Amino acid sequence: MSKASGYISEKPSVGHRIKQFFVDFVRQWEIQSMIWPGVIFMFIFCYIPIYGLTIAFKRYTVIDRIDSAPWVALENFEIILSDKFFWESVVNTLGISFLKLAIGFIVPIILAIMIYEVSLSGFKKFVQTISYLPHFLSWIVLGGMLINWFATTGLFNELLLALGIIDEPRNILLDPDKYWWIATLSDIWKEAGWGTILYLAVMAKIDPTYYEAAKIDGANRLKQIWHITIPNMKLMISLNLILTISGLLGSNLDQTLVLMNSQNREKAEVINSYVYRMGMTQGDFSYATAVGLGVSIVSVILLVSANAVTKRLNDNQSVL
Amino acid sequence: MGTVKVNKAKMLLVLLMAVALVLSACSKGKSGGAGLDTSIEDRYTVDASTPAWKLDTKESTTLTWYVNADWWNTDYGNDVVTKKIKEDLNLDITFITGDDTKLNTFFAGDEMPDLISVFDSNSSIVQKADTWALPLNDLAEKFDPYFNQVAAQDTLNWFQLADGKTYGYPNYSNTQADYENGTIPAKTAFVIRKDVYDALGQPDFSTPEQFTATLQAIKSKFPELIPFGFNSIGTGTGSLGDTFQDFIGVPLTDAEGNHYNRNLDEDYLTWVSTLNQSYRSGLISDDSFADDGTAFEEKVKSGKYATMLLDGTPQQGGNLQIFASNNEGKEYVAIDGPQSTVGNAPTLNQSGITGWMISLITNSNADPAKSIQLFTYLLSEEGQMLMNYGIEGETYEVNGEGKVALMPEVKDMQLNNADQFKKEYRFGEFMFFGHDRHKTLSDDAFPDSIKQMQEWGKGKLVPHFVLENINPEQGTAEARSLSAINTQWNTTLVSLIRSKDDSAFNTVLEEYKTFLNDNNWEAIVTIYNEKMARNKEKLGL
Amino acid sequence: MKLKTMRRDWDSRVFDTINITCLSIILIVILVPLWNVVISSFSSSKALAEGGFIFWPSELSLENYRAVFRDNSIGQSFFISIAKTAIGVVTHVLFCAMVAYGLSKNNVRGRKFYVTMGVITMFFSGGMIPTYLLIKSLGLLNSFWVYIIPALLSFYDVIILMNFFRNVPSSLEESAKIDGAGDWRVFLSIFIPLSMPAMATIAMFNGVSQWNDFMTTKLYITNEALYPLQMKLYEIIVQSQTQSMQNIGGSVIIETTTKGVQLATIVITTLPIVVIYPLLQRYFISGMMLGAVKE
Repeated sequence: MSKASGYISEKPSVGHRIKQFFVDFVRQWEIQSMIWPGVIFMFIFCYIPIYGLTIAFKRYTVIDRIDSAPWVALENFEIILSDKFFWESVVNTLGISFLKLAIGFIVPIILAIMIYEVSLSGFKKFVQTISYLPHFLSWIVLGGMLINWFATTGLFNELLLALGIIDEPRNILLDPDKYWWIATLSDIWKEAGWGTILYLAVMAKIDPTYYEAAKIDGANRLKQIWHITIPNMKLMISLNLILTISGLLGSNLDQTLVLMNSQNREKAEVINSYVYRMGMTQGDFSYATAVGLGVSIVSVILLVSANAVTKRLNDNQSVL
Repeated sequence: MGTVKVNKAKMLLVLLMAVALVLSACSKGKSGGAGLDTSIEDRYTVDASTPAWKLDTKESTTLTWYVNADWWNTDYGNDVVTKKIKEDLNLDITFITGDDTKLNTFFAGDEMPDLISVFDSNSSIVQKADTWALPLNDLAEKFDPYFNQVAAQDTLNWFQLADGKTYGYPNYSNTQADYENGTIPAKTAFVIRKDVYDALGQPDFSTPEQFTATLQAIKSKFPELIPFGFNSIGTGTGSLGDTFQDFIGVPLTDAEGNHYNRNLDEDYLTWVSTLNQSYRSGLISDDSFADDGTAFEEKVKSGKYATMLLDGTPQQGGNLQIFASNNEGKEYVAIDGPQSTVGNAPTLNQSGITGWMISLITNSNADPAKSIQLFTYLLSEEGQMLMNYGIEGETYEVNGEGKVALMPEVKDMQLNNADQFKKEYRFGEFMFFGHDRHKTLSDDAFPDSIKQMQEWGKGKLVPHFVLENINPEQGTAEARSLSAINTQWNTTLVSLIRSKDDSAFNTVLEEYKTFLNDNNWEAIVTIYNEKMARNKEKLGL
Repeated sequence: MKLKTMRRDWDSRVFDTINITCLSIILIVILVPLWNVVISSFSSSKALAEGGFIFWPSELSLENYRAVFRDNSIGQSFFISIAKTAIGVVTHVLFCAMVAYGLSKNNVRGRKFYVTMGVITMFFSGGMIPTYLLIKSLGLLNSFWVYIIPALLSFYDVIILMNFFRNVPSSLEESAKIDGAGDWRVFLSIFIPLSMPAMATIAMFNGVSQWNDFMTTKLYITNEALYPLQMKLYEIIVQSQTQSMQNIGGSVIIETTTKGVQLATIVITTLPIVVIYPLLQRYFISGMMLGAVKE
């Protein structure tokens, strides 16, 4: 906006402001020209197909066309929201997501710091490379391994028996109460290393002279981390936090389909898997779309709230 | 200022969405072939006693065929089977694979393939085929009356829709006659490792007491084996639900021929209780409930289970063969196993009249005449022999006993180079309209490991036709309730078997019964009975 | 003074020891299962069926890999994968960086609108069916470009890059502009080099995603010549599973277990990434400050 001269009179009129907008717009044409390809892209690939969301308000099956399927307004939502098994799956989803948030969010941060602090370049590279390899395992393979290990004759029981923690082998995959932990911890094992990549990229940009200065001032390593490394990661942590919070209603479908069995189902059935089953057995696309739409709306609300909170903590600078 | 900006942002967004919605409203009409009005004037004249493909003078046709499965091999024209089809019918086929979403894109985007094959007979695709497919009856009448000679009338009736016409035709559709002739091999068996069986002096498993006692004996003599195993359960019932009920012969309907909840049958529950006792004595491993398909197959391959209630013996044939070849004298054999406590005979199940893959000809088919010719060809004896064994004199011979045997070099490749065999010959894989009776023509149709099991099952198969396709229509409240009830039953069954004591067992059972009442069970039963009545009509019972 | 230095060095060394010890333990926890996967892919099906091993199977074999490579068209699919990854990554990173740079300037008109628009795309999607129809009407069905064009922009990546760009000191831009440079020059010659760790990170994320993706192929491509490696491997796995589904005639002993082939495909897919990442490492570590500015 152009600077007003010395004093402030009444607010400029709407017409004036629109004119100012376009004047600035044209003056910024170089920058705007960088953004507009993105806008056009989003319009074509994201906004044009968005009419598919109308499926949520229709009774849509495999043989329907989007415009020809019958309109049922909010009926799909009524069915879903009055389904008590749906709400059970919501509880499980939130339970697992919160657990993943509480534990799984911190782990990559700590791990990244640990890797960053290593000075032996060979060891550092080795740890980094190995740490993100689990990300590439598919859940089918990982799930198969877990089934193997948690068997009564498997590694897990052998270990616990040897350490004297239990006196009888048990297959914890059949225990509903253990499921949330199994899902969370196995997910952390798989993704923690991958999650360090972004943080390490941020840390690469920290000016090393800060550390030297701190050392001279007598700070030990932990203090250096607390006062230099972590504050520099604040923005990235905030971004990750916002996105994780907005994803609370999501879950890992592949993991669930592999680890869920009829015994742990009451604690393992999450929104994705429930919708998958209901959609599959009924050939019902509307069901999945309706749930997806609801989850998206809630996610955006969570995102905006989380953003507002982190904005405060970051001296009013938003990551968005 | 900020609010104005945000409001402007919102307005522009709404505008964008509106434009998008308007764009979507544009619909195009369906393009496609002329359907039943296609002219065959200059090609041939129909003759009821000759298959039309022999008469058709059309030079060449290309058809697209969509198969609703990821695993379908889309090759065409390179192997013996499809090469012959191409030759005989002057026909090129382009296969497309996909899943339900892909299938829907055809309907939504009006570029329908010429032929479609699906696997779920209860889906709206098959139930509402009259809206998008051509009726086979009319096609046969106009273009290839010989079709009616090769298609089973029972099956055609079974797939009739409300307008009296049939649109789809299945594979492995078994009729009453098939069951009675004994041409269909059984696919379920209670098997035991031969070494275990002999070591214990060929014991009995018939009554609940004998069952647990024998398993106990197995445990003491063979501590490294798990006494009793079953197909992987996952979120289902493995072989301990319907399969077990069929094994001990739980009645299919009640005395009046109406729907009967076999899950609550007394005889069956007695046996479930027996399984529970076995579990409590450590004769069934917890791992069996957590294993997935792969884990189960590994156990079969390594012979970890002393006994198994096995469903789907052909599917496990390879695994059983691997175990047998590596362990002389220990192979699995089928024995009588658990019997009904009230004297029922087994009612083993096999593929019903619905089959498992249904093929249809779409409205926009480029050449309906050629398509029905193709169906006739594949359904005929000639086509079936081609798909299973190839060309007589070239790839197979009929030996003295009337049995079909593959030529030695073909057989050799089948055993030693499965991939090459698939590429060059592809026998047994191209199974549209396939039928078990062609399998029984050759001794090689099934691996040796399961032959004895199939022998054991002879005479024990009973058609379950009246129970086919009785589920509530997809998308209705009853369908959803049924889905919940079935899920609940899966958990209930496993919980029953794993109950710590009798009171826990009874509590779980009561929970299931209450669950039924809380979830619309009566309405579902009404629908079941309606559909069963209609089935009986179609079957002429 | 000397005491202080000594204590500091000692504290530093204690920290390092503890750090390295903990990392080593974590390393073992991660490595053991991974090793199991790799060595299992080199096991014979017999050994896999027996199971029960962690570090070394009873029998080694290359049969799983042979099963994967039996198909001749694997070579072609390798080429397609490399092409789509290379072209896809370069175009994606540059496109996102360009948009992110524009959005990183707080004085850009309409910024809030653009960001809102972008965030919405992260959460709301029309679904596979309308997207399919769109791709079809754009003529991208069965075309190599379906791998590139729809993947040009990811707003998540834009946000990350945007935040990195914001951290570049404005004094650098100001001095460049005084020298007469336009926005594009500043972007290309200052911001990109300085944000190499971020660009490299996004490049790697996108590269991995392009390399592993087969859904695009499944939905939009039927021409086998355009199949990337992942699609070929997916077919192999799925089709070998169904050998047990169908009544394949005869006493066919299926040579490879599905599990063995699955493991082999994972190793084959991951290997290039493991090899390439160390080579790209230097871009991640770059902390260079062009003409460092002391604040």
